[in-house]
Amino acid sequence: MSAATLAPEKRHVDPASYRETSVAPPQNQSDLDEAARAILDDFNSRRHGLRPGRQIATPPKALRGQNNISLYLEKISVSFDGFKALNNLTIYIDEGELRCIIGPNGAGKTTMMDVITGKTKPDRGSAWFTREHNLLALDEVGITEAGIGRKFQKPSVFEELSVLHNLELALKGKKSVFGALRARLSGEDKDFLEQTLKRIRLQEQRDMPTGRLSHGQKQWLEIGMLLAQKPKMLLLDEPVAGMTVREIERTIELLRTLEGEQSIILVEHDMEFVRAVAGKVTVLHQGSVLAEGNMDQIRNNQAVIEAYLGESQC
Amino acid sequence: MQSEQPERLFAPSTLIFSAGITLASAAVIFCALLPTGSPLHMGGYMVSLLGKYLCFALLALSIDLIWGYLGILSLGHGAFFGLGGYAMGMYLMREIGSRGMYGNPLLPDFMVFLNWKELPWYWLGSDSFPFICLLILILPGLAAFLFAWPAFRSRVSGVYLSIITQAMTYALMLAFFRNEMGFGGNNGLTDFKSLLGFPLQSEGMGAALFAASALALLLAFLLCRLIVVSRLGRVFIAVRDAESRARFIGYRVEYVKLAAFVFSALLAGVAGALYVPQVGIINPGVFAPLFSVEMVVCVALGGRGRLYGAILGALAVSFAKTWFTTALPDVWLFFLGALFVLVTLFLPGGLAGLPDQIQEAARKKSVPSAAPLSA
Amino acid sequence: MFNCRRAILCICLLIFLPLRAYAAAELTLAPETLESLKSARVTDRNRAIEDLGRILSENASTLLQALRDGALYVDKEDDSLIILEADGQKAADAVSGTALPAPDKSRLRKVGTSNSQREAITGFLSGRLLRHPDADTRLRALENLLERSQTDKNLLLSLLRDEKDPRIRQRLEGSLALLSARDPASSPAELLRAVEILRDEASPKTRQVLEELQKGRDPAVAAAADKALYTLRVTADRVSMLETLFFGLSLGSILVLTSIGLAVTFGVMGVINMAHGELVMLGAYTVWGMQQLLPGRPGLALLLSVPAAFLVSGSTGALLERCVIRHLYGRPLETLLATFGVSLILQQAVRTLISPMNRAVESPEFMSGMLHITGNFSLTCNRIYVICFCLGVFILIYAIMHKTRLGLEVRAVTQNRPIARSLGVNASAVDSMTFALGSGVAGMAGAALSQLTNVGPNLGQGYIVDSFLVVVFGGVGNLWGTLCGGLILGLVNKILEPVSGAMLAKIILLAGVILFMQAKPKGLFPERGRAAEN
Repeated sequence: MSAATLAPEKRHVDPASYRETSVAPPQNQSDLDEAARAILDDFNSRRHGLRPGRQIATPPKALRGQNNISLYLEKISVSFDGFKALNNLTIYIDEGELRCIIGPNGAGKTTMMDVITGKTKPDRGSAWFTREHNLLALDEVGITEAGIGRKFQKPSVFEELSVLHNLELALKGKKSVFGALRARLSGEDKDFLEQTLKRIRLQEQRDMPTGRLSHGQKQWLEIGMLLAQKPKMLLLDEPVAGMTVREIERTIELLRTLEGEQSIILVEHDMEFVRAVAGKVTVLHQGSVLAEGNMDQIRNNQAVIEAYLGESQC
Repeated sequence: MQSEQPERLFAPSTLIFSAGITLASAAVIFCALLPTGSPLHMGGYMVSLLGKYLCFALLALSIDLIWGYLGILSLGHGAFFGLGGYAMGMYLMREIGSRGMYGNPLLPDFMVFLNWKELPWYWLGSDSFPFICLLILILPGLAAFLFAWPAFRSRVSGVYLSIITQAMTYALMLAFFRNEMGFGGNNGLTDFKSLLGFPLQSEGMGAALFAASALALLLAFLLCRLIVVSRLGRVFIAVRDAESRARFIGYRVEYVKLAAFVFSALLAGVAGALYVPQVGIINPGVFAPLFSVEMVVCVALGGRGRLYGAILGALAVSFAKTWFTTALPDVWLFFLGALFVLVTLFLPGGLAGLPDQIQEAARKKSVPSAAPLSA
Repeated sequence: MFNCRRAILCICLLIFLPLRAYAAAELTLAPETLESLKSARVTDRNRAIEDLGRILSENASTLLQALRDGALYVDKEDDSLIILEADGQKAADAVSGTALPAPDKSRLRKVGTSNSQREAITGFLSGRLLRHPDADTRLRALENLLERSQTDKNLLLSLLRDEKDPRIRQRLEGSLALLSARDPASSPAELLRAVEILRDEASPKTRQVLEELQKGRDPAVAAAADKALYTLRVTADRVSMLETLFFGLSLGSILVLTSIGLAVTFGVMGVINMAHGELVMLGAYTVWGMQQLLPGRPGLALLLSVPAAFLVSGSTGALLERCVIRHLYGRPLETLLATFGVSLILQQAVRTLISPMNRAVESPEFMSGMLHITGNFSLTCNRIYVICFCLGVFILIYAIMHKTRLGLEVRAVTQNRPIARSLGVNASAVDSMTFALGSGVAGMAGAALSQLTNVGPNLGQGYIVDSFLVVVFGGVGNLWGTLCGGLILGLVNKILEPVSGAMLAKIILLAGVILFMQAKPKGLFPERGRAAEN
């Protein structure tokens, strides 16, 4: 679906109001393209009833080059009653990358996840998933369909359904009302579910209502449900919170097997876990990026140490 | 709420229950058709009373589908019941023809009384039975769609939704009280004579209507069962227990809810349409909030999320109501009120959940804390 | 707190001011007067007529009128005075005014009058009251006079000469202007003057006269009349607009009153209490009960009823919370059903214990007057009281929720129960107190409602749906939202009513709120922020 058909409402646009938008005089052909695109973007965003600059309806420049950026967040700002949860946040995630996001409480980690999954609409900025999906024009389901799966901070599984049924519901495809009414598990689906069960080590509990699982098992099941969706990108919000050491070890193993298959964004408080997973680390502070790099670089970054002083052992 | 793990369409409980309905209904029809002198003969009044219970059971079933499985508590399902009933009532009114008090071949009596000269446009076609059958399905379905679509799309849920369903049925009640609506105002539609040319008062007709109600109930039960054992049924439960999670694994929750709500309204409409010829009257009372809430209590008493529980609850409450309102009319509301309180406080699973509840209590006694299994 | 005090002062003033107007006690018919009226001697009857002339009560006037018209009879058997209407079919007791079956003519003796007596009666009937020392009585007599007969210009002029009360002067001048406007002999100058005065008098009669003058021959007079008619129309529009506003505000206040308790129990605590309407009903019945305890003193009973209603409904609410709601926290739909059951029980209890019929609640005098703002714009006192009462209750609740320790604890408990408890707040006591407070306010609303609607077992039912709509419309958990929501709904309802009729207005309003809720599911003043997202 194109962004235009999903626009919430169309308003009359007064052509005169474009004069306010100042566009630098073009220097050469590529700048000219850029300028034309800026006007087009501005027009599109007005047509969709948004303030200029709030939403860009064509993929931004960074996505048009020959690169493999999978998730693109640029200049995202979100505020709740004056409190800036996100402030000009810019992050790029490559395909197949495992990225850890850390930061003190209130740094905007969960809000960032909310923006990516469509739960919160930002006041400003642009968000793209590959060059095909403008995340700001999609709702939660659209974003899920585009291939982003999310695991919440609190484990949330369907407690009355069995483990297998939970996975079955998450299975890719057949999500319409009539599709679900007629859906039968094919042999292929069964094999896939079986495989997933094995991966998350819940084969023995397959028919148990998930309400009776332990906290760690619920976390795994949720990761399993994400895998069943076959997403291109996984968002994991504190996947090891409340887990025993042994469970954490197993989770690290699980995540390692996923690396390369999907891009993963991992939000975590547990520094040991982040070090063990060993991906690129981004530190958020007060709604924007404070530092980016591998764990050692982060540990020695003066700004990070100041932001964390007294908040963590890092 | 505990609900069964739905696996097969014909689980033992479903089989037993379907067979039960079929046998009991067959027995009633048999008794109704016996000659008048026979000791087992069942009078017309009794048959239509039982038929009325079945209609209430169907209405309760429709409420259970959305409340028990999707967590949508509609306090206004009487509205859809009433719309179906009024559609049927229109046809029955037109069937009276010139046998009415004023003998007007075209206009129903109340219109003659109001000095109306012609049929309002929305009464056109109401003399055709096939058209009315269509209307019985379309009218409640359309009303449910128009009401529910914006509500679900803007994610009105829980208690808010319950209250606006109540406001909806209340508004409809006020509207139907108005003579200008063209549905007989306060008195509603009544004095029916015949259905498809057969007199309504005859014993054969009573038995036929009862049979139709029983058949409708059985079919609706199996249809609902079909839905809840499918993957869609599990999506329902997913939406009920964790709506936002269901959305994040890719289900358009508003479509799921809308489909269920409209289907449920259709069932309610059919129930209303079958109710009217058996009772002989339809008036704005069916839109009263109390009626809808009574039906919800039937479901709660029977045990929600079980389908057959709703049916049992509706039958039980209807029997109780008939008995109380004749024997101890003053006590009925006390009884009903106490039922509301006691069932919600002490029987969260309803009557149908009682065995589970006892089992659970026994289990808790023997094992003080059921520790979750660890990997 | 300053606002609160001022509001209380206002309420007190409003309650006691109108009492003064009724301080002049009216004389009653003395038995001797009646005896001498029955007497056969002319002098006795003369004296009786004179006595009656001095009495200002309504029945003295009817008695005199009947006497003058020859409709007063003495029942020969039980010696009572009876008024027989001209057709001889209807009869009434002359003293009490109660209707009697038409008696046998043979039992009756007519009380005769002489010419001079009849003249005297006529004089008494109009004149004496017209010069009565009490201005209200004079005004009433004047209204009677103007209504009844072809008025005498000279009489009006003489009255105007001695009159000091501005209201009566205005009325007199108006009537004189009307007379001269109708008089074909009036000069154009007189007519212009009359039009000048009539411009401020809005009555169908004035309009008719002005319309005639508009078509008259004199162009200056016609133009003046035209202008006057326009002014009248504008004033009438303005008055009707103000009236709509006033009725809307008063309906809004009723809605706010009935919802404010709900705004506490539902909005702040999150408890769906379907028995809220019945708590309102209990408050109304408290007024009735109090009036049974204090017969003959409806005003005192009403004032005492306000705290009593708070206690009755509040303790019922506390009981309800202890026995039912407490066990259902966190299960809103179950709470809804259980409290619905409680509402049925309470309704039926009232039906069984008191009566299924409506109970008559007396309105004390200070509630039933009118407040005249200008000549043709007046407000009924009871509605003004309700508006003030509503504001007072709102301020009180607002102060409790935002300025007291209880309010702080309530908000703490509702926002985070475990944390509040760990800080030493007795959460379950706070729940009980809050619920009792909300219920008590419902009772106070009921006490106010008893003055405006029928007090019966179904009283509460009519308000429950409305109250929930107001709270939800205003935004759950926001007292300001409830105030604004209630007033807006009341106003919209009253603005719609003349256009669409009362029933349709209500339907439109319900449909409108349903639509509004779908556009803004969180109401007018939604809670925002991260917490509200979940």
